[in-house]
Amino acid sequence: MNTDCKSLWMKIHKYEFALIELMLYLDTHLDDRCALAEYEKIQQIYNESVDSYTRMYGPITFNRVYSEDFFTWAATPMPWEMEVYA
Amino acid sequence: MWIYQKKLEFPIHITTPNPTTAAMIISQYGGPDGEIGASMRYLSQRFAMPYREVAGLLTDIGTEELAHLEMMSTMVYQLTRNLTIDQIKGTPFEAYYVDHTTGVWPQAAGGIPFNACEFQSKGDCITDLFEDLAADGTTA
Repeated sequence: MNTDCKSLWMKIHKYEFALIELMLYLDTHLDDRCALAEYEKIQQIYNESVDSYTRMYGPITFNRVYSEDFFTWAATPMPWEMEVYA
Repeated sequence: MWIYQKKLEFPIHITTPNPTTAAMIISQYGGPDGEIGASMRYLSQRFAMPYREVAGLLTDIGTEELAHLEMMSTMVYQLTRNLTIDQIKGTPFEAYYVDHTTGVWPQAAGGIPFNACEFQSKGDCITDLFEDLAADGTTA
């Protein structure tokens, strides 16, 4: 994993974590406009990061396979493998 | 339903295996206050929750607990990878190794296998929420 890949990978984790925590708050505070605005902001950065990562390094979910000659979903390392951060 | 993300909730990269730590950490995976119990608890109790947004919250929490489950089992895996028998002999991981080698299997640190008696689901949302406080107030 090169430096750009790793920094994008870490960015995805960071923004996803923020998104999850905000989601749990919003689940019971459905009309909190301030939290909603933050959710929208983080969601956009997160989605863009996942999109860039997916196009450059392969899918994180099975429905984002963009290869004509190889099933990249099955070829990328499992998340517990040490080479994920090698 | 659920779809899998080929990533952990937070990256884990343990470079130095340690069977003694693995023997303790495994309780947070399959022990009485572990992440399997936590995820199964929320995902079972949610059906008795009459408020839709709270049933949704229980679903989202239960889902996040599944992500914790994956992180804990990853820690057990990485703490025990490439160990020799000599590195395991005389450590608290020894008895586990007899039954499972380094296979990841849900049990408490004391060897008790995970089972559904670690949590309750009573069909009453207040009772269930108190059970959640007791269970999840001490761990994550």
